[in-house]
Amino acid sequence: MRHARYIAMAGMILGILFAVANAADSGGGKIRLGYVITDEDGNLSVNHETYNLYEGPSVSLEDFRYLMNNGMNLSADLKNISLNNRNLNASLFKPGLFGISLNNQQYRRIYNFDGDKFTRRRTTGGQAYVYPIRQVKIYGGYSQTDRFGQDEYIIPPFGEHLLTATDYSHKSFNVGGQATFTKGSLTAEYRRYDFTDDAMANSDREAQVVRVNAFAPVPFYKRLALSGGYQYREDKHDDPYVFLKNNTGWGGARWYLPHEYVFEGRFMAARTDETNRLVTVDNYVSTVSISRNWPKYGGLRVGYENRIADDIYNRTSSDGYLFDGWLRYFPKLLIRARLALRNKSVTDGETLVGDEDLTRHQISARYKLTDWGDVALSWQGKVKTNDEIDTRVDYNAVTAEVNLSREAYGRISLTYSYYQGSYDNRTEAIPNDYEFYDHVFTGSVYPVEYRKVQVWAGATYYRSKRDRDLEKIGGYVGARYTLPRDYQIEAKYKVYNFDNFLVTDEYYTGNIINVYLIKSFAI
Amino acid sequence: MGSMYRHMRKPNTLALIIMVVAASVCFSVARSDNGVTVDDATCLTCHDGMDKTLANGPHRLASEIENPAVPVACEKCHEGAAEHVDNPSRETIKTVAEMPAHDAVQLCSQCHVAHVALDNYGLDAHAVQELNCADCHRVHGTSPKLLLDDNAKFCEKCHQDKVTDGMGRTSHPIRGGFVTCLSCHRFVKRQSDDLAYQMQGTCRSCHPEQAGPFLYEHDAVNAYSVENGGCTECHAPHGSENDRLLKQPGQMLCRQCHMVPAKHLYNQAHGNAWARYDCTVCHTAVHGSFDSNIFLDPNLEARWGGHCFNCHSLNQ
Repeated sequence: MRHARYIAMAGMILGILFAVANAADSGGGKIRLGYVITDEDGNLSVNHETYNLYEGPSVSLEDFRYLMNNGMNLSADLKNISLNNRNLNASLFKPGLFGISLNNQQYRRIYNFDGDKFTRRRTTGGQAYVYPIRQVKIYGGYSQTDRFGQDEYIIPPFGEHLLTATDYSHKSFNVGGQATFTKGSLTAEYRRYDFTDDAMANSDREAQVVRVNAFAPVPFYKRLALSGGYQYREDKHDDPYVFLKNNTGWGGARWYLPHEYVFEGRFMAARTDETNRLVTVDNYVSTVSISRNWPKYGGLRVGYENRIADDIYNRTSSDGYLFDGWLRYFPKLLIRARLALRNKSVTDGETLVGDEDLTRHQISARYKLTDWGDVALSWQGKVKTNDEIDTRVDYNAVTAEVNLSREAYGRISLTYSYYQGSYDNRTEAIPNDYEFYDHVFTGSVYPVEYRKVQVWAGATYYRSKRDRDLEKIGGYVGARYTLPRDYQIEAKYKVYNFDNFLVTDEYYTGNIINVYLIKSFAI
Repeated sequence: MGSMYRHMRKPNTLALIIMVVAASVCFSVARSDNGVTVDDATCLTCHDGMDKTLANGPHRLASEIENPAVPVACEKCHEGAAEHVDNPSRETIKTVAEMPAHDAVQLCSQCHVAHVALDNYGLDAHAVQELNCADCHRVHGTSPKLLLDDNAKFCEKCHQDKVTDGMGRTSHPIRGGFVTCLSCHRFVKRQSDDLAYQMQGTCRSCHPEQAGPFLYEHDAVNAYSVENGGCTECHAPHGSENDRLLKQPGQMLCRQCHMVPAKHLYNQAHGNAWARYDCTVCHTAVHGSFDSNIFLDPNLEARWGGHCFNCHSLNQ
């Protein structure tokens, strides 16, 4: 019944689109009719690519656009109308005057071997805006996310199964206005959230937000732009009864200095109160940065961030430093580097975590091959140390990629990523250090169309040794043949294989075949 | 009397909407003059067919529309048209894609509030990389928001490592277009309204069940400008080998920041239960709680049986 309702709704959208289209100018799109065949064996909860696949006939309207003489534009992209993995988007707009958009989509996540324990997330929403005058935009929207079903959680290391029901609905509504003027704007918005949970008692809550934000260059000194805003938010939780009030103010400045220097600064101050329990939480954030650009050749930036979090029990302070830059000294070679440091200390009271030190570093190089594509190499790392418990987490990722493209032949892409990390408990009171690594290979080939036949293929190999020992292989191949009178036939085959070598029931093999008849049409 | 005044003060929503729409139409009719020096027909004499590339998108030429709402014309974006008519070389005309990034932003922001202007709070990685508007948008395009690709695949050009992350055991539903890069990464880096509540707004929009604000917040979900933090402290949003996109499963994740308390280690009451179970079996509310400042499940006794709270308390 539920399916019938949504198919009817999609049909109605299609009907409206065609009805309007008949009365107007020009347009077109593609109708895709097909069938999806799924042949799966093993544990249906281990391969995320196939969670949301359904076997059966598939109907889609893709890239539909219709133009009217008065400049109105109707567009729709309605994928898998007949299946439970639908993804529907439609909009009607006239640039600079008004716009309306609607969307509905549904996604399934499987949690058990047989696939009968799953949750489904359904999102439906609409947005609209109108410009009563060119400088003023009034907008509003509604969105509803429903998630329902059964969620199975397996508790390691002995694999006890914990089964929980999920059934919640989250609705949000907003309305606002934006006035724009020379290089500046003023925005005011009201937003409301409602969260209701039918599966878990005492989880319902609601929130309201009023927000005002503005930015503008300083009159007669346009090198300096200022911004600022204020927000009031209240949250109500039913049981236990909690009523939170939050006031937040912020401001920022960007100052374009001579010689391509740019100074930026911002601050934010927030206070959250809960009057019944006399809880007050203050947050203060301030950042400054200065950058220097050499247009086309490079740039450097240095930044500092300070954050203070203060509640009635503890006060923590963190200092963060940022250094980043890019260099294109040789026109074909672009190098980027970034280093971010943050240390957090407990200045009052005692927290469970205590003082922390974090470092993140990143460097990448990309070389552009003339006419043929590019080659890239990147490395990123993160180090996290905690002095209180004397531990260190070290994480590194290296990625190499080659993308070759030539109009006469097509394109080919190859990527290899290696991830390596370690956890080191230096107290040795608990000898539980460990290391982990992942390898990921991907490749794809997309040659040019030959005698009305387009083919493509690709593959992925994934090997991971962390707390599990996983191997995953995927491959796909597809072909499309163009027939007379704007018809096309398309066939796709995908294969997935998954193995967890440490857990006997975590294996999966899937063969997915899609066959489509595509008709491009013009009105 | 009071009820009568209340009735009179009640706004008539329908009337308001009609007024707004009527005003919109009136204004749209009123502004048809686009004030260009070289008309589109002149440009199309040589650049035949370029109007067709604009026809399906929001930059459709005003000269082709009855009552255009915005005066889009070739010369509005291509500066130098007058000189170009006399001297039709590539050097005499400007195109967005070939402009320095700063100039492109200035040009586009005549009609659009530029991202870099909205991001007046700084530290935007793209703003300092000399990225031109045309690096992500195709002015002569038809896709939503004129992006080079509907599913933001242009991001892959520089962020291929994130794509390979998605090949892992779990990932967001990028396939099928249910989630795209732009679902989470907003170029307009607005001042987060969630800093005060210590939960990232990006994740909140799809995962409200985990979102605060809570009476007792978990400090780990604080987000920082320079060195991340927040939800990504525990979750790998692009892909992971673990359920729920966790960076590590079970205890291993918690122990990166927390030491296992001594009372868990040496208390035999549960048969060394700490060694058997994940921390989150009892500390269920790791995203924040209204009941417990150590995030214990208030329904622990009901779930597992026994008398947990005879020895333990919800708060410490």
